[in-house]
Amino acid sequence: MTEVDSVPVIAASSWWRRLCTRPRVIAALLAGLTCAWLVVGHRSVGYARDEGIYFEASRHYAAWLVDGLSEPSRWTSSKRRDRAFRINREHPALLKLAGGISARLLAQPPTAAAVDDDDPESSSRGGWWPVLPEGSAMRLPASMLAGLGTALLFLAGTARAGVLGGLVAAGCFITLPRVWFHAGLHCFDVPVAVMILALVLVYRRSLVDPTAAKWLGPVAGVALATKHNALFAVALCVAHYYLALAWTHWRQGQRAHAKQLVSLPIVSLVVVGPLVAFALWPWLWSAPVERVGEYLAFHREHAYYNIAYLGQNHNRPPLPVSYPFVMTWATVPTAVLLLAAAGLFVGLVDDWRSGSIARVPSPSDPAPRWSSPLPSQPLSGTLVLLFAMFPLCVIAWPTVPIFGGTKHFLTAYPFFALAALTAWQRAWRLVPSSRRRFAAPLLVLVLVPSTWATVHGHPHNLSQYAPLIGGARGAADAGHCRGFWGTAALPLLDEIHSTRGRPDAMYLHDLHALAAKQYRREGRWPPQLDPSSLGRADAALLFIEDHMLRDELEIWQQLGTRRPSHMVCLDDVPLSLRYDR
Amino acid sequence: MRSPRLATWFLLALAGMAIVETVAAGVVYRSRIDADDWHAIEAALDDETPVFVDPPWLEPVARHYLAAARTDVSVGAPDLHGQRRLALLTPADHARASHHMQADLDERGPATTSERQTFGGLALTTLAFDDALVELDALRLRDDLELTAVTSTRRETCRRRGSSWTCGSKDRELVTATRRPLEIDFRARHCLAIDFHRAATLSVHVPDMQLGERLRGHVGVADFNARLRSDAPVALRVEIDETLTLQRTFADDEGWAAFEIETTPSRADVTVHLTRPDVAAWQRGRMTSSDRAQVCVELRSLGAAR
Repeated sequence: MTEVDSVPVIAASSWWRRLCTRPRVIAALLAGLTCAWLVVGHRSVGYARDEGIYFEASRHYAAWLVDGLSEPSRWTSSKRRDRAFRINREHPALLKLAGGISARLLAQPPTAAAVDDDDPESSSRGGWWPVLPEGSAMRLPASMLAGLGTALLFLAGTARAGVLGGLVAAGCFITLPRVWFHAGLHCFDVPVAVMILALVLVYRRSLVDPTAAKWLGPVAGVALATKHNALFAVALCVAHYYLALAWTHWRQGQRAHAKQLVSLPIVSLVVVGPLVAFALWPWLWSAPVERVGEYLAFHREHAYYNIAYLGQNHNRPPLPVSYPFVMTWATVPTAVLLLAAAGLFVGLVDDWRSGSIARVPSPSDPAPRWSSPLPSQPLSGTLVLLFAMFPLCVIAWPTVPIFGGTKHFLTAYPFFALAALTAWQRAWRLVPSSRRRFAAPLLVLVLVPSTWATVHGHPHNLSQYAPLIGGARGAADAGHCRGFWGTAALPLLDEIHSTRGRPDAMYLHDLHALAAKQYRREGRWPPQLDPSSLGRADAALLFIEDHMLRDELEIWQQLGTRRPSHMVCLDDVPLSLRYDR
Repeated sequence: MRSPRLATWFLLALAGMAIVETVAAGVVYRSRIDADDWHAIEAALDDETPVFVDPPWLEPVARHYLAAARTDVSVGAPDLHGQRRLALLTPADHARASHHMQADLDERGPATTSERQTFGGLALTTLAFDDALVELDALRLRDDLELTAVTSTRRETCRRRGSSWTCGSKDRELVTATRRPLEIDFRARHCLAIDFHRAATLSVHVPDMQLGERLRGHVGVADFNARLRSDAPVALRVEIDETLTLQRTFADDEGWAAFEIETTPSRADVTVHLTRPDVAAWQRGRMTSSDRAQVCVELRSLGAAR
């Protein structure tokens, strides 16, 4: 066994030893593996409500882009641009545009029956290299970002604690069932978590490195163009910067230089980042002030959707403060949380201890520069703590809507992973070297519960819960949200394909019409089946949530049966039902 | 963390937690009920004993396999009163009833006997209440109900069709009533579901009702929690042989609210009057009259078994 930075690394053979000296190769392999596994594995994950809307938006956005390639004046036509980007303007365009481009490159053509001749954006053509179903092609950019997140965490971990440290950091994020589920969707929750991770890593580096400071703006812009959570991330980075500046000068007893007060990192975050985000969102170009205002207002005044939590349905303030904390414990294995909590504590103590030693400045110290304003990267533990806890604290605010399970505070989880790395590294550094041979087995042991949960729960990880709450069953007993978004539909649709005497008209309940359209485009929708109102339906889907009970009773009334003909279950807990007349 | 000993203890604790979670994963991440268990339960049930499924998440699966789990009593019982015997169907590894079921059982009072049988991943607990009052008569059992709707300017005798009544002409409907389950406070309750199209009073006349020691009923406003709104209250009056015996107002946020009247065993004409003074719904920031919430009412007479 060799040691890197006093932390054990397994070196069982020469090829492994060589690989361990090339962390970027391992990172690339992990990224590729993550992406490929998501693309293939998520074929069995149904399309979420929001995905249906994003698929439609992606087609329109890509059509605008492609049309402009043949006639660039179309890009400058505000009428054409607004018509394309009006769809789903409450979220930035970047990921949707990427999904649309991915489909234009890689998607198989839609089935003939699904092509809408009246909708030019519907596109009857396949991609340039049609190797993926359209939905998978559109999900690909998000999967690639998930791979990037895995790689970034691995590299961050390796730099501090060798290959095992890298695997700890990456594993404590990507093996989580809810993370894995969201990572493979054409949605923004894991992408923005990864972009915020990238933003923070680049920000931290930018304090001492001018090159990183120059890249900070574009990275911030891409993060802002991914989802609105990045607005908070930029603000937190700015807050941390001034805190770090004050901290540094408290230690050195000097006042801040003018070039440190508005340094390149700050300009990158506050000026360049928003400009890049603006450039990446064509909807804003026609009326920037008004449309940014609308965007912010939409999220500030977001509706309170229903969510079940501890046996109660919540749809109005005051909302339970405990929600994000309890749901994090309920969906993330406690071993990972233990590591993360220890790491957050250790990080804070390290920050405090580094500040308690007053340092007398020396004439040989480099002068602060506008492009690298600080002599070191202070308050790193505080930085991780801020980004780990802020998302949970926002959702904990009693007037902030809670819905969507854990997706709205997933941005904290990469920082839990970094904190876990801190604890891992510190513990193994202190432990006697004779015991360091247990590091690899312990790593495996720590990651087994989350990996097991994810593998077992697939493709229904939106309904999966951690072992100590009892998995899906325990969560159902506790009265937690069973699921949402209409994803647990594929087995019910597949069954219709293969059954004689199939229904012709079906009430879709929470399966969005645009998600149904996507199934149709890919030939996964039973050809004779039409979506229908409940009054005319032969069959009905039902996605189980507390506040949907009234819909189920209406189904009983209209179809004349109380017996579900088919069920999708996870560990005996029904997630979705089909009723047949 | 600076102490090697502390670091070692921390890693041991981490390993211990990971082991505990791995063992827990082995226990929880699997299906524990299979089709054979359901078939065995079905064979063990008798037609006379109503089945109640607990916890609520098990109900859809029970309804898939068991006809007994699809009856009005099983899916929408107002409470557990009036049942001399009942069968509680639960997962075999559940030691305690759910919060709702426990509340219902507590309200019912202790069982005289309790017998538990296990069928693979399922358990059937038969509870007997030997000294209990039984259900003698109920709104839901009667085919001869007479419904009348009254406003300040009109009086309409309601026409029956199947399990529904319509009061008023086609383009001037006052009230419609249907025997069906409604969602009240996130639970299905089988009741007379009343849709007030306008402010009105609906009178439900039960001729020659068999009375016992108590008349027990519930009133609820459906679908309260699905929307952010406030509805008008419901006023209830109960007359026995034209004598007013109960008068009460129910707010829309009371959930499934119970009422009781002491009676003497006899036969009598019972009339339930329900008044909705307004059918508007106050949503967040606005009033709407298009989104009406239905009123759910049930009534049973309970007495000694004869």
